[in-house]
Amino acid sequence: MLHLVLFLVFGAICVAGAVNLLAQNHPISSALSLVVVMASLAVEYLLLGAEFVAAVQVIVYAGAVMVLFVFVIMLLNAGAEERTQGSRVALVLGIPGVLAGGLLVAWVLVQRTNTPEVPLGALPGFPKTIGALLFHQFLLPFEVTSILVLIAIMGAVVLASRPEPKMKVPEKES
Amino acid sequence: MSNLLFFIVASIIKIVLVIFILLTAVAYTVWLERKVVGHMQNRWGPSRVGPFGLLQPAADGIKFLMKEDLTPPHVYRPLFIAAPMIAVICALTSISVIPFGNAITVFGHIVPMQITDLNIGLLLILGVTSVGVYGVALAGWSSNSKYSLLGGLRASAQMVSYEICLGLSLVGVLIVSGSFSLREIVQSQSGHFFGFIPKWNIFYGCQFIAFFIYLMAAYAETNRLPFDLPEAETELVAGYHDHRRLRGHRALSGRLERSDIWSAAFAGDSPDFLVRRKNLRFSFYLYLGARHTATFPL
Amino acid sequence: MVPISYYLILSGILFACGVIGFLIKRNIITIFMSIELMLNGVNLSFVAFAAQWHHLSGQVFVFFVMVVAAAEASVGLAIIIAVFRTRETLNIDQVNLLKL
Repeated sequence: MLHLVLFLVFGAICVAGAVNLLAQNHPISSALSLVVVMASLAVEYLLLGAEFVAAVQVIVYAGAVMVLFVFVIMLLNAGAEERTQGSRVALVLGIPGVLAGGLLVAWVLVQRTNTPEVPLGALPGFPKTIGALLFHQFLLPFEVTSILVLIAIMGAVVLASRPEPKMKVPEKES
Repeated sequence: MSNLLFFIVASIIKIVLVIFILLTAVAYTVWLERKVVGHMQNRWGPSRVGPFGLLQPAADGIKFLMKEDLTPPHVYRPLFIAAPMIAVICALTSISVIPFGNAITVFGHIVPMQITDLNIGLLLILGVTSVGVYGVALAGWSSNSKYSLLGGLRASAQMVSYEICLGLSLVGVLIVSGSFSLREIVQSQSGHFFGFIPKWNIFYGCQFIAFFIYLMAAYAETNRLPFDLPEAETELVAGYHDHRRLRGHRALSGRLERSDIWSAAFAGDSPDFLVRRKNLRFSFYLYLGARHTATFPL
Repeated sequence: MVPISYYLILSGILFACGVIGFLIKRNIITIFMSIELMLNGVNLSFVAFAAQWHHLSGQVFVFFVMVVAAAEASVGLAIIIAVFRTRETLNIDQVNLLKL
């Protein structure tokens, strides 16, 4: 009972945040509603027992990635969005595509309503067990992600740094 | 049912007590700092209100409460109001996992002296403090002024970057105690090395280096003196709390959580550690925190 | 007791919101945030499936998704800054040339 109530409350907050992200015009409002979505998703993870995932979700997503977003919005001083008519491809292909995809997902879910019910904290993901799994079974992907992050850091630095004004080569006195 | 009721009542009492004690302690730590810095600089510090100026924090609090709630016309209103709330709520939430004593038995129920004991307590603190960055960033942005924006950007950049040092310096503690739960971390530090050195993590191996890193990162996080670039009073007129009514509000909230965590993580002792921790925290705050303010003429 | 399908429906709704935002928003940063929203929806389904099959791999995968999202965010925001520097706009409709 408690599980269902908590799920519904935080699920509602989650969906409200996601819809607010679409409804808001100003990027900062969108970013903050995305933070709300992420925080309530962390609660959903906790309900499923994934406590470490929940903590990392808050630290990494809400605390680092979204701060980066807010930071960039502040840095570029992005104002409210201007309305344009939008792209025609999105109208013609995108919205029917989303509707079709949504119908497909809904149909699959209705067909498979006999999914098992899980209690509160179904599968406890303690940091210890997750760490053991990460460093034994998933060692190679783990190391690969470290290289990925390194490349991403270098790419970000190269892309965001201002292109240097060309140095004038002092001509040799002859 | 009575169990549940008891739990709820006990939790509410604990929350009220902890918040009350904490806020009072913070107020008087500020008083102590002003007093000590004053004496170091050959002045008296607060001395007018009450004996030794002891009622000064209360007077300050009343002054803050009675001030006119002024909202400048050009600000982005919802965030201007929400930003200090975010900062304060995040700072206060993080004390909920900090233990302050052994469990006691009341009417046959065991009441742990901690608001809640989470398996991921330390991660919760890190997460909540990293969310607290929004308070600073949004406070700067929503004031809609160049100085505030620059101050907010500087402060949030500094907080985000020092958060990494902060998190990594705690790894040693985690390895030694093998748990994220603050209660277990504190319990793993009970006892003595060789019978007389308390078994605190700070004396364990090279942990004092981690402690030093943590300390410096904590100063940077709270924008204390050597790292007070964001609040640069001369060029940015105190940065993000420019345009802000309750500037003391924010300034208070940041620094209180840090000292609590370090003492739990590095210098906790098991049974009667409440008193000892307070002493340590005070003396520490005094001898390093206050000295900084007094001796760095920045 | 909550059926796993509830969690899946929630993750589906989040993903759909992300797709719709990707299609209808005109600000590059908001579009980017919609992508993050989609990734979050997928993460929820990973954790839900982990609970269904009682296997922690699902939860481990969430970390990989997070790493990719963080890397993507840093590079993407750097690209946004570079675009803003040259075009001085964040409106995706006005970023319509391949050259600077």
